[in-house]
Amino acid sequence: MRSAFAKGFAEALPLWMGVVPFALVYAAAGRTAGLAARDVQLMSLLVFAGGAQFTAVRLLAQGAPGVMLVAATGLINLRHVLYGLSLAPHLGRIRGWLRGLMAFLLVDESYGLAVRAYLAGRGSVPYVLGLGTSMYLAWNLGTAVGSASVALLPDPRRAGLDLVFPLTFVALLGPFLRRANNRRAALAAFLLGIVAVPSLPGGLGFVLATLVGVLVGVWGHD
Amino acid sequence: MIEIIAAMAVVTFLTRLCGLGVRLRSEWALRAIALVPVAAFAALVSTSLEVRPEAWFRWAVVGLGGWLSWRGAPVWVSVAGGLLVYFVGTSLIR
Repeated sequence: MRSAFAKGFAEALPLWMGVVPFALVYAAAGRTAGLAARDVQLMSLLVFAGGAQFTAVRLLAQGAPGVMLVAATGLINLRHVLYGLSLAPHLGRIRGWLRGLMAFLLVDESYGLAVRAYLAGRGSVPYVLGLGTSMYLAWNLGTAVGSASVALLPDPRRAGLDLVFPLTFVALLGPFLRRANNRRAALAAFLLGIVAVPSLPGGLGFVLATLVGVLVGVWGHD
Repeated sequence: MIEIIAAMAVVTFLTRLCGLGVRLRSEWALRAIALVPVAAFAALVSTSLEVRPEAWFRWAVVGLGGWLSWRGAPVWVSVAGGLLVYFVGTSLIR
């Protein structure tokens, strides 16, 4: 069990290159929006959802009420419902507290690596927890350093480090593309992602693109 | 502020937990769920890149990462290879 956990933790380490700089930027944005260092860190410790935290900070800076922050968080995180549904068949019967811990640590990156490991026959609950813990540590360390050094931070986008995110997901996508219905699903979601995400609020565009991709793939099942 | 953060944490946790707690049994639903990672990864890629002419090199780098992965490279090789090409390419362009 310990070795599977360590393996998961280690396999997520290359993704720190993308996660830490964005945690630094999130912390800087939070402090600039007027949040106390304690609140910036507390959000990373308790919410642990980069997209939702960035949005919350942006809304706070615009003077939005708390209820809007919570609603935006729900919208942006709707994709996690799909991630959970997709992972659930692989988990079998596990204890409630373990399921809760897995849920708490479920983010885009850990989901991507977890589902790939399960499909390759080497996934396990400790492995997934290792992935999630690695991402949690990266996000919170980045937040702590970012809060403490707001004025010194360079822009990770200018350094190209924001490319780690699409590169990770395209790398996870590659092996799936050998099957025709997977290619159709990916193409539909990819194209709709370009069109729908900028024109729909919160995470709705992403959820719509994913659902349409799934339907296209199922409809054209080989 | 602490109340807002706590509410955000609860909402996030519930969206993550409610999917994990459901066991689908119908064959159609299982086939659809198997396609979620494919569609989600594709949407995550396209939504992370800007659609404007100046971003062509970033799209090319991501395309290269996808090709490496399709040829069987592990995730870290695709990510590191893509970043390396981006750093070298942008330094040459500048």
